[in-house]
Amino acid sequence: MLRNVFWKSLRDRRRAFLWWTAGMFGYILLSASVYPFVEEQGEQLAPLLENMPKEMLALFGVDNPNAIFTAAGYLNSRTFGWVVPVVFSLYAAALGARALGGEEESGTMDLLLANPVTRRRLAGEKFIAVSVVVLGLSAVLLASLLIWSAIFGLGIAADFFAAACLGAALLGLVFGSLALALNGWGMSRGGAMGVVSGVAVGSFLLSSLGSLADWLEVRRRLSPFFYYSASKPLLAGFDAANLAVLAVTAVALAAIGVWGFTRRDVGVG
Amino acid sequence: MTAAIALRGVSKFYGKQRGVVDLDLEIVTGDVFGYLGPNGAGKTTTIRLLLDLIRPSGGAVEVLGGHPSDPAIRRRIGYLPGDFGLYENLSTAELVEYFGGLRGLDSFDYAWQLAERLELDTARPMKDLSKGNRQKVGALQALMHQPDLLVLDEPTSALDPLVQQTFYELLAEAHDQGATIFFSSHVLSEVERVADRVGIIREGVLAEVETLEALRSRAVRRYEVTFAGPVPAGLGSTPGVRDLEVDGNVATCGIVGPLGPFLSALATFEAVDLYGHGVDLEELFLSFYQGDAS
Repeated sequence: MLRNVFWKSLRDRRRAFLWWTAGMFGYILLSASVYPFVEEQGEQLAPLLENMPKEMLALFGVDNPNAIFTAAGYLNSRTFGWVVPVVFSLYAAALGARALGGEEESGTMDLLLANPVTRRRLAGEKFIAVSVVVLGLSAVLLASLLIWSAIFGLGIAADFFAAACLGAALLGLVFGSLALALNGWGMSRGGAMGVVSGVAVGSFLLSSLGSLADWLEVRRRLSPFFYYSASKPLLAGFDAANLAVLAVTAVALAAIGVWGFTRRDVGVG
Repeated sequence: MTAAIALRGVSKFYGKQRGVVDLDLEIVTGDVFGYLGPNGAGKTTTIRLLLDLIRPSGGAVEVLGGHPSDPAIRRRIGYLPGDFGLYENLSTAELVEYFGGLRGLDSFDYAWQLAERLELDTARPMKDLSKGNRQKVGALQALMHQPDLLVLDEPTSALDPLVQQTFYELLAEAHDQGATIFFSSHVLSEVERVADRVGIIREGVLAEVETLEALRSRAVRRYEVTFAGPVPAGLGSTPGVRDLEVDGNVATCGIVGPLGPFLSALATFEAVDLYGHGVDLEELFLSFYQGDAS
């Protein structure tokens, strides 16, 4: 796995990826094991929720209190409502900030760039590696959901799950590419991570609360979360247009980052 | 013959901070060039410009007849940074595999030879290596593809004397095979040992480029003379004599340029003993460093 920058970058992530895999399985297992109780109590809780402020419900991705105690509704509001997108956004942002910034921070970039590899190629392969790792984690998520579904009979089609997992990965990659872009234009790894975390939280709030205020409604479309959640993949399956917006945004941001990296000075470790 | 390195009017500023200013420097293929200067003078800036790690604010950098942003040019350069990190989870063998692959090497035989001569354990992960051993890894990766140009930033600073010896031998072999060597140092003895020509940089400006021989001829040599009686008053005004110090019958002074006038003076003044301390290049460099070279 040391043939080129791409394989080397994947190799660097494999140990951490195993932990993420374990964590992802664990989280889904936990969600699956508490779901029967949620379903049981749903009938009692639904009227309570109906009396809660809708702003609060919106924050947790709930727009129909009666629907959230079904398997799809539960997954949609809780798992895919905020846990999964937040995890993927932060994971991908960390990977994106680290792709080039990590080599610079640890002082290996000088040695690496002395090799006959163009900067464009180096940064491009790093981005592809980040994408593969993030998509890999979404495949792990998909596998654990399918196992859960098979055991408990959740009655959600496999391709609906796949659409949701792909959406989460692409959403994450938008933030990962943003981190790579900021770092590509000279921001430190930590700085890029901080800015992207802020942007991610802001766009999450914008998307989830945007439906409540007219003046925010239009601006929701600026938030990557909007394209992630608008299509409700667990209820409606693949939504090519929304997924494409995320994918194109991620690739465009990465390209801007790669371009910046070809132009700027590389820092000393 | 094309120059291995040609810098024309190269300047580099980091914002308003000075890196190097208006460098003009040409290094002929096959030369061993010592780049001397105190810390912070701009040595590392110059070297990083040569590798295209940073871009000049003005002027043109030419390396091996091309531009260092061209991978085909960088394939022919071996670079040992002054300060570098290693992939802590890789072993030396794995680093050789990675960089060897990137450089398109068919065989790693020479790399294994280097490891053996530097007494490097290639199986150990780098996080377990001492500072000296890490420096050996740096040297190995710079030399392993037998580059046409070696760019070395303070290469021996972390090596113990025995390994330094091996390293100098490896450099000499590379030189014999036609490689050009550009290395920086703030230690004169290191430069004196291997360089044909030296450049001295001070506060970002190239103060001097000379052959070592020419520098030596201009250097101050220190002598200690014992006279039969008191030190004659006329000694201090003899041509070439400077920094005369008198202690009873013993005079200590520096000589610049030809020794003749000094020797004639000693004959006249009845000197009974003469002791030479040899060439003090260090003093010359210090004078360059301080900016008052004559």
